[in-house]
Amino acid sequence: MSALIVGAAETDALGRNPDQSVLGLNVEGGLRALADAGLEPGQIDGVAGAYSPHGVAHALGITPRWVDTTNVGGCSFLMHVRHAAAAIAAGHATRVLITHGESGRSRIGTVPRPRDPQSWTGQFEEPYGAKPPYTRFTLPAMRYLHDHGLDEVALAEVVVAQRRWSARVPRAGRRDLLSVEEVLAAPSLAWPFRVPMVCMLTDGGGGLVVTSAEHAPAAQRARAVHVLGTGEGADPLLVAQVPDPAGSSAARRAADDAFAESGLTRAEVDHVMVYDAFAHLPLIGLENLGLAPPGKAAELVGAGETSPGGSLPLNTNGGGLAYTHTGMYGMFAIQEAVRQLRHEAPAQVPGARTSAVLGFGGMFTAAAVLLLGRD
Amino acid sequence: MTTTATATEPYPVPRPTPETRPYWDATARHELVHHRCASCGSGTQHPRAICGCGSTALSWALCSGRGRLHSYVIVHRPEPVFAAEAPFVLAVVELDEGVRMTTRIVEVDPVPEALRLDMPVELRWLERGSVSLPVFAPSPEPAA
Repeated sequence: MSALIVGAAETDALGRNPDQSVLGLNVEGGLRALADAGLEPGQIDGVAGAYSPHGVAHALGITPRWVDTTNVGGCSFLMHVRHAAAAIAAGHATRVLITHGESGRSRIGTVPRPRDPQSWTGQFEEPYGAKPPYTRFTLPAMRYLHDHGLDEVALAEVVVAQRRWSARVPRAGRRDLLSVEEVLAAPSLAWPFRVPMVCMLTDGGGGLVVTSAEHAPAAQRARAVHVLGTGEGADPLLVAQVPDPAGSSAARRAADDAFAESGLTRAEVDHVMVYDAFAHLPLIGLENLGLAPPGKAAELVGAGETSPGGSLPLNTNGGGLAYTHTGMYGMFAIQEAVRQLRHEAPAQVPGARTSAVLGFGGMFTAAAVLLLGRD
Repeated sequence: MTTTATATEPYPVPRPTPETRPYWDATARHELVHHRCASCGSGTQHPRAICGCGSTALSWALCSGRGRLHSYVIVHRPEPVFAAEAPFVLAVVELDEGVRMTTRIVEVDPVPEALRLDMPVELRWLERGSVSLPVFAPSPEPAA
C-alpha cells in the first residue's frame, strides 16, 4: 500500500444541528477535508461515500472519473479508504474525496427507513421486537460474557475507561467521569445494556482526501498519514447466525489481511480505535484484532491499559459511547486515528506512530480494518 | 434510535417471499421447520440457494422444537408498538438441530436470575393476527 491520507476534517457542528441536512453535512465535511489538504474541488477526480457520493460531488463541483457508493453500515468509510487506495494504485483515480454526513438526531434530509416485512430482518427479527440496534447488535453479548466468565461489570468498565478519554476532549458529547457503580445504576435499555453503554445519537459529518505520494500536495507530505494495510469482510445478515458469538469472523479476516499487507506486528500498534456502538464491542474488537487473547480484553480494560497512560490506548476521543455517533461512526474513528498520528489530538497519545482502526457495520454484518502510520 | 412506529400501529408481522413461503406455511400449521443440507447436515432458519459446503441438496425439515438458550437481552425500552409488553426477553435460541434463531422466551420472569444460558427451552406459539410466531419457554432439564 502506498496511499496517503492528506486531508481529514470533521464538520464544525457535532451533536445537535437542525440547521443542516444530510447533504449539507456531507458537503461541509468534504469542503473542510479539502481545505485541510490544501486542494480545490477541481483537483479531485474520485468520490466515495455511503450517502449519494455523486450528489455530493455535484454539489461540490467535482466531476468524478471514479465513484464508490459502498454502504454496509458504519464501517463503510474504512472500506472507502481501502477501495480508494486500490483505485489509485490501478490508475482509476488520482485524488479521492470520501465524505460522511448524517442527521442522526435531527433527521433533516434523511432517507426514511420504512419497515420492510419481506426482508429477512422484517421476517425473522422485527416481529419479535428486535429492531432498535440496542436490541439486535447486543444480542450476542451475554453469550460472549458467559463463555469467558465475565458479567456486566466488564461492560461498565469499558464506559469508565472511555470517559477518562472523553473528559479530556472538548468536542466530546459525554464528558463526565463515571464509576462502575454509577454506570450499573443507570436505566436499562436492553439489559445488561444501560444508557451509558449505548452510543450517542448525533448530527455530524467529516471528510478524507486519499491520494498517492506523487499527487500529494507538497505542503502536506510531512503530515500525511500512510495507509499501511487494509482488510474487509462480511458475515450473515441475521445476528442470530453470526458464526462466533465472540464477535465477527469478518473482523478477524479483515484484521489478518490488514496486518499481512502492512508487515506490522501486533506489538507495533501504538493506538487503537474500535467501533463502539455498544460497550461489548471494544472488548470483542481488541480480541478480533489480535491485540488481546480471547476473553482477556476485559482484564486489560479493567487494569487501565486502554485508559490514558496505558499500554494500549483505545478510543481516545471517547468513542461512539462518549464522543459522537451519527449512526455511521466509522468516519469519526478514522478522524481520531489521523489526529493522533499527526499529533494534533486533544487527548494525545505521546509519540503515536501507528494506529489500528476496526469498524463494524450492520449488526455484525460487515467489518473493516485500517492500519495507519506516520513516517 | 429512530422508528416510525406509533402506539396505534399494528404489530409488524412477516410477509413471506416465494423463498420463505414454506417456513411461514409451516408455522400456520404450528410446525417449525428449517432449511437443511443433505450433504453436510448443517441447517439454517432461513432458506439458502446453496450450502456453505457447496451442496445444493437443501430442503425443508421439521424441527424437534427443543433447544437451548444461547444468548439474550431483556428489552426495557422497546419500539412504541411493543411498549405494553415490556420488559420482554429477546433471545437467540439454538435448536437441537444446530440452528440458531432470534425469538422470545415466554412463561418466565423477565429478570436475569430466571435466564440461565444453555437452559433447555421448548417451542410455544405467539399469535399475531393471522401469523403464528415460534417462541420458546423454559422446559425441564432432560434426565441425565
